[in-house]
Amino acid sequence: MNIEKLGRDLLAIARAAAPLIGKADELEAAERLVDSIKTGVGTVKDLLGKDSPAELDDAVDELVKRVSDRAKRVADSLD
Amino acid sequence: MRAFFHSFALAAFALLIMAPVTGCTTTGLGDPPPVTSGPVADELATAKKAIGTVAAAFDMALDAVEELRDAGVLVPGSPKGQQVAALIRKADKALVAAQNAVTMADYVAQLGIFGGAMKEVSQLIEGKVQ
Repeated sequence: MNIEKLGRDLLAIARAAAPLIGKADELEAAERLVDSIKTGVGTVKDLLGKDSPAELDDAVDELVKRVSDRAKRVADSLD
Repeated sequence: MRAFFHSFALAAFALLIMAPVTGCTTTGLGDPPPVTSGPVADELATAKKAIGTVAAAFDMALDAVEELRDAGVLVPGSPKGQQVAALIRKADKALVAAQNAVTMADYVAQLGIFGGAMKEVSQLIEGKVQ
């Protein structure tokens, strides 16, 4: 399954529907999610393309730390 | 209620949690990555790539949660908001534990905990669980 294509397909549906129901602000939010998916897919492709184990280790460690720190902030924002 | 965006975000969230990621060795966030029968070095490299993929997908899921919070679907301080917060913390802890796991069994177990927590988030947002 190609998640990036699915994201694009979802956005196409959203774009088609938004004028009909006057939901431009919600379309913007949906577009931000699709951008997020694109960025995430790019991150994964970059990781999978690393040949050196040391490079891969560093990249994954850095990514996990960043996401873990962010998860704590998002969780705190919901309490 | 921002029903249009809510529906879109739910669809995106479900994709992130349940669907495979392009080119990834995992079968989706809800399932642990397969353990290969190759040399240990290959196994560890596969595991490391899978952790990176899971972290990237977790990052995207956090984007969706933030959008749902900003749209008023998830209300900070509400019972559902607090439940989602607790599950995010549980998933975060499991992700870090999987990264630091010294055995494949522990690694797979921690990713199972991570996937379970994220499925619960998805169900809470969809309203299947109160």
